[in-house]
Amino acid sequence: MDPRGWLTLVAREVEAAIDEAGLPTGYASLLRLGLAEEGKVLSSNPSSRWPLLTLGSCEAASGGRWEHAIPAAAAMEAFIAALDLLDDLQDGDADGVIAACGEAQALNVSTGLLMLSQRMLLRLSDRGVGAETVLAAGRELTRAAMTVGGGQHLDLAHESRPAVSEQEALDVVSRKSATLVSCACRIGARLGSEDPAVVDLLGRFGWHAGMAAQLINDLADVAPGHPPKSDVRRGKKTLPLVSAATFGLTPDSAAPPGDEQAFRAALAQSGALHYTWVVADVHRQQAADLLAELGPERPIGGLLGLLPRA
Amino acid sequence: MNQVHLFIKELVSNEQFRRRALANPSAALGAYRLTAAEQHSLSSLCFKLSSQGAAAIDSARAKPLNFWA
Repeated sequence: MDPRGWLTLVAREVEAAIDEAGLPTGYASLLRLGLAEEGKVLSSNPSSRWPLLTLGSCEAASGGRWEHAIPAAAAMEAFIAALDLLDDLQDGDADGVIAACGEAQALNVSTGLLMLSQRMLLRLSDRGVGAETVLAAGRELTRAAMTVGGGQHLDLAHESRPAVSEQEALDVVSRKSATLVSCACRIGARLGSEDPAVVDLLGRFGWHAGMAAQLINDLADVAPGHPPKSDVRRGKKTLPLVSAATFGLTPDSAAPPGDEQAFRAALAQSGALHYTWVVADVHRQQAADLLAELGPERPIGGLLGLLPRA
Repeated sequence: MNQVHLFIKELVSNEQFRRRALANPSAALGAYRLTAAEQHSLSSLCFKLSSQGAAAIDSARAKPLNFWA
């Protein structure tokens, strides 16, 4: 795996797909802006893991080939950029595209990025990928999109509920982040191998990796000393906040109303953050174990390096 | 409460248990019915707390994958 080189090739693919769409200059610029947010593939310092998951899975599944999967890696990046923008619109979070053009145009940019991801998957055929495999990749992406939409529905609905169970909170993580990472890996695997067992194994690797990464994100979003996020204020039902009740911590007992820093400190002392870390680490271990099952002849080092570290 | 909850509850609320667990995680974990992965993670947690203190968890790095969340 060559992350920097791979991201450069994916950026070129994205640029070519936008250019060939014949869009009004302003709209094309906004699509590029959505793909130039911090870390994304058109930013000045790209570090996005999404294309790497797809290319790394293709490399691992095929035993070394990955070049033909570049359009799929670019499709994943555009797909995630579209979802990130939608999420910022729904949460009222800061976002470069919304700041540049307002909410109505930003919604249109999100739609454009979703369609761009579909167009880029179709560009797989330009790389010699057969129609059946292109169709399979499209099926993976649309299936994930439906699952993620359902997860987002539950996530938003949970905000207005006084309490949800740990299992319900984990179900949302499974439907959203874990499904997306699994999708990125399954598409790459399908492009690298026709063996359904290999595709399934890399999909399960992605699912566990996605669970681990999201739980670490959720932990960091409520840990003391981290920049304020909307999770506590909005009553997000993430695992560290939901499991606090199991450790005897309730919002009323933890801190004076509105004192988020005091609440975070109480949360850290309750055991809820330790618990979330352990659940995440168990998923990280399971992801690593699955990769090891692929066998020593497969290049899996790149994918292992993408696993979250807490 | 599951067994992981119970272990962590003791870890954060019982100073004597915490000292024992950080000094010898395997012995402390022996009293709990845990999977191999849970044992490994809880041992790692004890090691991190022993070497880094509370910052071991508080400093968990966010946004490794820029997730939609």
